[in-house]
Amino acid sequence: MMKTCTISQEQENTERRKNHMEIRMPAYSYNEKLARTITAAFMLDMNPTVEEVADVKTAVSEAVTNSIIHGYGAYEKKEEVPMIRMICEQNDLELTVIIEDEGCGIEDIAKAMEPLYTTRPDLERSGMGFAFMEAFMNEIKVISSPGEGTKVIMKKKIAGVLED
Amino acid sequence: MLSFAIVQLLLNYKKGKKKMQIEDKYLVIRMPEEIDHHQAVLIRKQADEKIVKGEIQDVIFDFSATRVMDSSGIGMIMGRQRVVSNFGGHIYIANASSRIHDILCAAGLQKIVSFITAQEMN
Repeated sequence: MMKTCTISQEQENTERRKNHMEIRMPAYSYNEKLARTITAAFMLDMNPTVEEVADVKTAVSEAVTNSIIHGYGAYEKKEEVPMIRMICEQNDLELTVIIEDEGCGIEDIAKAMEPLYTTRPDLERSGMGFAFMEAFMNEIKVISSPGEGTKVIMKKKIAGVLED
Repeated sequence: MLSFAIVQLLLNYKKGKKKMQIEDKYLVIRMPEEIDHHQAVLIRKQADEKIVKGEIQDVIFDFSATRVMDSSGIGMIMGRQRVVSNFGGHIYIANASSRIHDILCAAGLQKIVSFITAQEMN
């Protein structure tokens, strides 16, 4: 009985190498937790280490927080809560997470990505958001222009836990 | 030098205990498992209420339960440092895992806060 389980598991692992999902959620600050928890669940199939899950969770948290605070800076005043789009893709052992908003956009992306630079010291932002995304993921790309929203594309290779 | 009562408090963390506790002029804040902007805002509000009321000099952040933290936690600690330094207070970080330690140091927080190591508690 045990043996049958192991074999079917192996077959499943070699077959299922591609996957993707797309989620839209309102820009409430409590949805930061939802976003990173969903991403963590999505990457479980890649058999990641605890560290790798924590890395991705931190990076997703940063990106979603950025969209809420900076992209949609004043959403409290709007009647309709704006939406954040999150796309997760699995390609072999590479995870891609895309966080997209339709907020105010970034004028100077290079400046925004500088460590310790923040436009919202009043909200006690540390200016380390992009620095952490860069540190915890293998690759990060930011596409944005003023008034056009922001798209953050992050990639991470998952080394994963070796199976016996 | 930390008092015996504080050390006992930091060593014996149990789930479901009070999130914030005052013990001889120290405010001990139990940090949640995951710290993001949403959590940081809540902690900031509660902590400031207690600090402004007085009777507190130093603040200890207890990270024993924390696994994930983003940059919001850093901003929150920096902000509390600014508040307590007005009263001559200081910030301590206790039970931080190496991951949390690295995240805090990435923003240069080691210059304005003190880490409480396991040796100091023995």
